[in-house]
Amino acid sequence: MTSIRATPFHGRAAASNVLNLWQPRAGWTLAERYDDANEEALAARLTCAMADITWRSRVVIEGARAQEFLARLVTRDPAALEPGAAFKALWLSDHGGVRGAGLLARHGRETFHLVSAASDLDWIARGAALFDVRVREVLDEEGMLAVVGPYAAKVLETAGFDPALEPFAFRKLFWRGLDVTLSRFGEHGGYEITTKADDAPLVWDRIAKAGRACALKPAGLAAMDILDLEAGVPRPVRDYTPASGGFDAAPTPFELGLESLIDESHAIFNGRATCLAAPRTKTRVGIELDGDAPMPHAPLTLSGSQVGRTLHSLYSPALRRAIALAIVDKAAAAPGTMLTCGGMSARVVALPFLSVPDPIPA
Amino acid sequence: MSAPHDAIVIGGGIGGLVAAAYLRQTGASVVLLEADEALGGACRKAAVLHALDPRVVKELALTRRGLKFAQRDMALVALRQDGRHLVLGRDPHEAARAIAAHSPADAAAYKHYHSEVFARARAMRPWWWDDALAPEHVPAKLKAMSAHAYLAGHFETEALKSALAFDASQPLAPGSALALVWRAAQEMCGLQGACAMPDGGGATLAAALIAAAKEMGAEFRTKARVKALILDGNRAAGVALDSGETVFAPVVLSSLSRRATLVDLAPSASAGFAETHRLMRETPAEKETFVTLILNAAPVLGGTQLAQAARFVIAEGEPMLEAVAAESASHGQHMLWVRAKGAPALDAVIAQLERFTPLLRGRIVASESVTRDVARSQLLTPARERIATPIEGLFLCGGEAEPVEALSGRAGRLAAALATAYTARRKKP
Repeated sequence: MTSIRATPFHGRAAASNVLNLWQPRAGWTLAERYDDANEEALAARLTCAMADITWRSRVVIEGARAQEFLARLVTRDPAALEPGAAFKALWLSDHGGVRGAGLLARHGRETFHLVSAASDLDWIARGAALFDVRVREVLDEEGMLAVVGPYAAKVLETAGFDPALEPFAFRKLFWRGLDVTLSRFGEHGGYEITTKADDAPLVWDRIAKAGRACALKPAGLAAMDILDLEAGVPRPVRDYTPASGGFDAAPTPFELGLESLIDESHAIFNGRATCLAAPRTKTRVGIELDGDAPMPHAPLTLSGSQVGRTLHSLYSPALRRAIALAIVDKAAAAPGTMLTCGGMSARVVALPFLSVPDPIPA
Repeated sequence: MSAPHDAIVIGGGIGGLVAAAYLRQTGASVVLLEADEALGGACRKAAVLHALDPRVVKELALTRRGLKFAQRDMALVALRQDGRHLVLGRDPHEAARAIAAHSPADAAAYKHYHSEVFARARAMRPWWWDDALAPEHVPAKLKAMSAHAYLAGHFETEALKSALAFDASQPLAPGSALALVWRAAQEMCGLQGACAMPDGGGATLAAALIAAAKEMGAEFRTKARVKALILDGNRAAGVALDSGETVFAPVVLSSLSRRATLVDLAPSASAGFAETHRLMRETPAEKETFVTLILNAAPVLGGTQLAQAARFVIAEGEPMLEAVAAESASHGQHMLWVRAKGAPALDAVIAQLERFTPLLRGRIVASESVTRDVARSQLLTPARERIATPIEGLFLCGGEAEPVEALSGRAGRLAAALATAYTARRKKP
């Protein structure tokens, strides 16, 4: 049975959700958009937006052998992580298929958190059992609020935070009477505030108040998806079907263009041998479509023969055209290559489509 | 910490001894670690050989090193309670005459069955022995069929079916029909599908193999139980012993099962998460029990009219067993080697034998009974996959590296070849 749970921010989100549009994601019910998704996405680029990202899977991994287990699980060596630091990594099936991608944060010597867009708790728990490592998913007890945009640092400072934080770092803080974690894990140059569920409405209110001067808007799922796509990040389920069997060999990290998340010198991660031996004929590129109509999961052709296919596709309000992620043969991956998609011309561009806007100094 | 070797072989059974000898032939320095006090493993308990690789015999000069055969082609005698024993020898016409006493239809079918199995065996041989591609003409039906069903398709007599099914180690398991074909694909003493008895039983083969490996310069260490594999990243680097000592080498060959090697000895999950769970889920292997009886008088199995230089199979009642008799080297004593399926008590084995050789119990001077696990048959797994592991430099050379566990030496020979190729690859700049 699929259960739909409300996030700790639900009460506040409902008050702002004037159109009463909701969408289920990963078992949570979330605002699809509060008003206009394109406006919200533009706010995240030009001013500031906050978004409820409690739907992200957060798995806590702890035990004496947690580091040893994670060294097997993910494609980079967690021994390199200091407490308070994080990195992005993949986890693969035995035969090198991508099962998931996420962010591994070290909270202590024996405690790690794995944050990802799609839960893979079964795989992680079954692996952890071999190492006597405890694994649990954080569900109702915490909320996570993202604050993104060029004014994000300024808003946080107004709210009483010290926004000086490196990307992929996090800090546990006692913030005006609340225990929160401030992190910079996202692809959009923003911050995330992780709070206890009971404190969530208060956090929402404080950020909304601090952001008033910067025209901060709450952003729904639709706007955040636009930002994700503009950042060129492939998401499991939305863009690709992750390997579900333990011995699946597809999709490979190379065809998804995720090879930067693999440390080839890390000798023991699961699926390494097959993954590195797999042919590297395809890669991920961005596609700018001619027109406003998105073309998700459509074939891409070059002079009549298919050279790839698009993944997720959306209208980008910042680029004022439809864009798509795509997997294409390396021969057709050079930026500027003109392809055809559904009878319309499609131009290959480098990823990301748009870089993160420079922050306005606080 | 001892001086590094080129290769470590875990286990001193036939697989380990053959692998050590072949590795020495290529000039590698080899240390063989045996948990037990004596080398030889299952070799020392068995009486008959049906799968010894002729290339191993020749290349390791086993004949020069004392391997002599007392019997080269032993008939299968299926003992029946009703006295109508079935004698199945090499000549299919003679066998057919014995079968005719049970059923004339089966007698006619036997010749057909015999030629069909032998023809299939010749076609399948390279697949099992030489790392060849799967023959396309293995009928899909045969891949999934049990030996029991395959025999039921040919014969009507229970006596004949159960006698022939004895040689398929799990006759009711899907795919075990191929075990009958595999059995016919073996060659002993130059004869296809034969069963031979070394002079002195399997101990003679064990002694010849130990001599071969020793003369070639392999180092042996007994009472050296391996506790853990030591890896460098995903590469074999050595082993740690129960004593706390460590032995280092870039190549490790294990005669243990895949599960024991990858789950119990290797660091957690080094075979891969899914593979480790798959190995842990595997049902326990079948067991077999070797009973060695020393008697003060020759046992007469099934009556004096039967030639006693045969392999007697009792496939009626429990436990099912195979018995071979021979005169002992020491004067006036006789040996009876028994291989029973499952893990029966010594008493049950003797009781089963006494149905066909009365008063056996009173003649026993000494007895020994050892139960061991039988590796799962992997008749459809390519040779390379049975031997290689997800860990670089780690190879299997024991019973589980064979299509059907047998005293053949083939897995050891092939594992040594794969290990040598791996070493050559690694040394290349």
